[in-house]
Amino acid sequence: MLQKRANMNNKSPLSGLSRLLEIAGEKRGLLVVASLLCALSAVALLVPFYSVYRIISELTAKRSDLRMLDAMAMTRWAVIAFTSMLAGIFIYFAGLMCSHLAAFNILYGLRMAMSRHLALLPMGYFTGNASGAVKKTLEFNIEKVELFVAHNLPDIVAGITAPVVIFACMFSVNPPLAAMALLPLALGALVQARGYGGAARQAAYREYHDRMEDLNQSALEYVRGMPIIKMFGQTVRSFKDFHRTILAYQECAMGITKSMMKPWNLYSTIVGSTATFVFPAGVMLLAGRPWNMELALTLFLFMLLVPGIGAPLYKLMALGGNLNQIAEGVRRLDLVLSENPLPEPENPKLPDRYDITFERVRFAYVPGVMAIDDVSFACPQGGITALVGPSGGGKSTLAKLASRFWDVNAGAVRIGGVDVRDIGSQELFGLVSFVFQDAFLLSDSVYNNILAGKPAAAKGEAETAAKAARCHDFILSLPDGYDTKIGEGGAKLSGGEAQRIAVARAILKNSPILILDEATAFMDAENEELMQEAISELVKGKTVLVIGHRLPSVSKAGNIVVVKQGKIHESGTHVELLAKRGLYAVMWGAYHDAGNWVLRGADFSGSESRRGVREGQSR
Amino acid sequence: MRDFLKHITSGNPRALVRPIFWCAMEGLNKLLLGMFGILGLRHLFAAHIGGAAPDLAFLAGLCAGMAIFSVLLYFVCAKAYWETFGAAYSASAAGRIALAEKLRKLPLGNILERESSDFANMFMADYEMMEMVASHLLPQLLSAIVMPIVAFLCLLFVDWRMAAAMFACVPAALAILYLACQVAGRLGARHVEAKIEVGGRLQEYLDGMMTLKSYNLAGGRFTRLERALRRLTRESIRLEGATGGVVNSAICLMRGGLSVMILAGTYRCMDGTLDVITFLVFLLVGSAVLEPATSAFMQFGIIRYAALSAERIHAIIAAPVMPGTEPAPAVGEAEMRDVGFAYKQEPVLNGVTSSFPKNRMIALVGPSGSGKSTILRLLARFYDPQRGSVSLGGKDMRGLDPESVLSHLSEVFQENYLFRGSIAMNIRIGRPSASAAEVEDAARRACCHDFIASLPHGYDTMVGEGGATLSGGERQRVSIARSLLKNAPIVLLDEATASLDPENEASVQRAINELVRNRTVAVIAHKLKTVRNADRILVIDGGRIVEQGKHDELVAAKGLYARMWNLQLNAGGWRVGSGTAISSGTI
Repeated sequence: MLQKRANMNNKSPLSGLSRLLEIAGEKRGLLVVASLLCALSAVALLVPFYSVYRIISELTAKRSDLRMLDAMAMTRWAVIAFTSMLAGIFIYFAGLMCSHLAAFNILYGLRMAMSRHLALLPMGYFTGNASGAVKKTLEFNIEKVELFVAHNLPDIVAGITAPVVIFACMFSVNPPLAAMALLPLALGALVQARGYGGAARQAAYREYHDRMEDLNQSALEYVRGMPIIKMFGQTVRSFKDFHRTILAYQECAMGITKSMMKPWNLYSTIVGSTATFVFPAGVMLLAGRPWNMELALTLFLFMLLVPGIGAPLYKLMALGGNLNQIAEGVRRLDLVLSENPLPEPENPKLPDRYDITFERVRFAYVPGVMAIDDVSFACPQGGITALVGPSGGGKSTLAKLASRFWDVNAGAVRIGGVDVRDIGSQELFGLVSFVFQDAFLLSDSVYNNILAGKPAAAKGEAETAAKAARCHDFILSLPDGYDTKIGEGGAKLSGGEAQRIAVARAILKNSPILILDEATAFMDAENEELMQEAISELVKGKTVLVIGHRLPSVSKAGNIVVVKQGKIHESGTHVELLAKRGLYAVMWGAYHDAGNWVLRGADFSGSESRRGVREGQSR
Repeated sequence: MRDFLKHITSGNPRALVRPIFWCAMEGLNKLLLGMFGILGLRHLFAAHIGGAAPDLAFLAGLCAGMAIFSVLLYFVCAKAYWETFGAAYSASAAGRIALAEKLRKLPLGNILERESSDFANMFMADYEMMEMVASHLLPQLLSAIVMPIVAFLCLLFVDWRMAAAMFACVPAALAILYLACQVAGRLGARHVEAKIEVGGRLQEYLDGMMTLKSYNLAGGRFTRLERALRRLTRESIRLEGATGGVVNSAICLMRGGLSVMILAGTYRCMDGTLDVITFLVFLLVGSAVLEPATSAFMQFGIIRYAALSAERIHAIIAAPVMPGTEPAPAVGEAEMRDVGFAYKQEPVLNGVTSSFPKNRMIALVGPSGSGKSTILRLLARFYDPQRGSVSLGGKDMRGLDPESVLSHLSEVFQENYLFRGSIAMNIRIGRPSASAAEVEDAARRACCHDFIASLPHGYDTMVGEGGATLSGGERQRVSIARSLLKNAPIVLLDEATASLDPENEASVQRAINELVRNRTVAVIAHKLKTVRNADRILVIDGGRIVEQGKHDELVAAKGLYARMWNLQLNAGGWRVGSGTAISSGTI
């Protein structure tokens, strides 16, 4: 339902706002209350002016003998002025609290809705570069909503209410003077409309955004490339480039500022000079009947109220930029929400055996470029199947299709004869465990990290799993044992230790199917030994699909599938494949050359190593 | 406050003098415009009370005066606008440039410790905030402060008791405002904490999505994120409510002066100690003079955010840079003498002494976390050691220009950053003066000529930000070509970088062998076989060198190295299907 509206255009900020409310699942109630309170406060804040007017009336009425002043009435008006000001400010505060509450609820709702939606997306979504952009949207774009909802919205309401009430009063008292007070506002609006429209200005704004994006890009590149820049003594050149970008942005910003100078200042001068319009008009009216005290008092009231017209309007003027940010935020949110989740089966089935079969599977990341092209093979229950082949050939893709990171374009992946698309996603994840190259750990205690495998498990079970994964000993050596917090602000684990905790988690989960990405090359010798034992524990009795990078690691697998350019190149056991003298045999040879790599220092004469290179290239 | 001004003007508060002057002129102009109105009304009422007809010619004169000042206002406004925006944009440009210049000089270690997006955020969001404050808020704040002060001083001469009554509550209001700053400071820190927590949880959620989903812990069941978000909501409301409440109380107190003044005026009028016209003037001024201050106080929150931005930037600007200006000697030898080093209190190296003689290969081996990579970082002067010394060609690095030290080193980084631009440009960074033929020769020696030639535009193929369009192995070979072109006498190398998939691995290995030939090499090795020909192997454990010597000597010594060697000889990576309970391929 959320996705359906995702493609709709959100031209006006209010439709953008209602879209935000919709995504966040937040009711309008609080915002309506906030708006009402702000309008009420705007009215209450006008009362002190009226009180002063009444006091002046009293003063002029009793001007002949001031001792006759009605002290009670004067005191009453002073108190009314104070209390209405007090009420006005605190009602505004209450309104602001409501709008903040609404804003924070919306922020919360948006973030929760987004993170829930993310959980439904195909895993494949996260393997691309998307997560950085998504994080930015979740953190910063959503945060921009706060300023608009919490501050701008109440300001708009107050900014409209105050002038409307003031003009209503003015017109009811003296229409000609009121018309004179309205004139500068109308002129100001005209100046605004002429000054801010136009294609040229749109183009200028676009250029401004481009410059800003440039600046952002260059800043990132400058910082990220800093190690290289320094290493190659390029700081001056690179600094100069960045310097240029900064100045280009400044120049562009100043250009826009200059182009806005006339309309903005004309507007603010005209609206700021309302008194210059009202006072002469009043004097003219008075010229006919100089003794009219009533008229003099009216003029006084008008002169009191006039500054109240301009002030809220200035706030409205400053809104433009924030409105754009709302539109941009909504656009980015919808970009994520428009990603379709994997469809859930209507009648989910559960397999009762755990072999995996690929049947004529085709899959493309980008339409037209087949990543997997008509692949069929089977992984027997309880057996080990290895996928090997050149990088980019499709072995990781195949492993990920087995656990439905994406849906296949044609053919089917089945577990125990049931199409993975017919298994509920939660059940599917219950059947499959992964051990990835870089083990992901929560910044939480070691216990909780292992218990993630089976949240209902007792602590004793977690320890048993840790022992099986050969990490019990090092865990005990941590400052708080199993309760040691790891990750940010906690203990740092080596890559091998983190990986073994991930294995302990998988052992605890004890799912019948296991997908392994074999890559432990970054670990040192002692860890490798322990990892070997941990993995041996983990694979016991499981259906295993392993992505093999180093051939010896998988040479004992029951079936080795060699994948190249999205197709199965050959398959069989290690012995069979070597006998075929095909791609596998070549890779086996190449691997052993690489494995025997010895760094050649100065001990070796240059000519010898050069010959080696030539041989390598001619091969 | 002075620090704040210094930060938002990038250390040059004097740049604010002109904009402040013109903003003050604008305020003065508005004040005068108001004065004409007050004079007119005063005349009108004086005439009425005195029983005489108002002097229309005088009033017409005032009207003309108002018109003139309105026209003048336009020019003053325009000038003030131009000055403030000009000052704001040049201050932020100067600030960005200063920050960029500073980053150039910071120890590389300090830069690598932080997320690059942190710095990028500073360049963008924080300086945007400064622009906003300097162009909008500061002038507004200024007129909010100056107008009441000028009005107060003028009114003192008119009637000091009435002026005192009107501004009686201002000191108390300011005291409360100070309190608001304290409250905001304390709650603000908690708010920032909650915000960082949310950032951390989001990162965790997105990074760990695959794992979380596979353990059915994503979405609603990832309660850690929900808890963090709830906490942020709570802290946000608390911060807003508490500071808002205090600030608004201050505003009320301040503006309560109007009522005090009305009461005082009423009784003094009745006593006959105050005339109506003076009272009238006070009433007119009193209703309007604190209006701008009210709006300015309402911006309190934004000013606080700006102050945080300013502090963040200041922390970087104030960080110490590496000393040393002397050019490094172009000799390919280095030495560490009794080096001790700690990252943020955590000791990493403890008394490491070793020489790295010309054209020799020194290998560093040992368990992970033993301090091997720190040794390489100190050799490249990412940091200076806290104890002992690192020297290059016999000269202590602390006296050498850090960039000149780097110019004599090549490092094969784990992360191989490529810039936006062509491949040729990326290789040429190694030596900007290199000819096309030299670039191609380096590419050939780094085993990347073939794949470059197969790209659509060959050497002119553009690579994206971070070189995203090339595979890891390809990026690495391009960066090795870059180093080959640089031809530095010392090479720092982490063998782990060579562990890619088999075909790439062989190519990268050939490229690296080309790079290390006839150079001084310090290499971290994980596979001991790789470095068995090293001139000396240092076995590092717990931040110390526990053994050293040639391969054969170390094996014979039967120490840690020998144990590791035996383990690797037998294990050589884990396997599946060997020695496990199941026999391969059975169902």
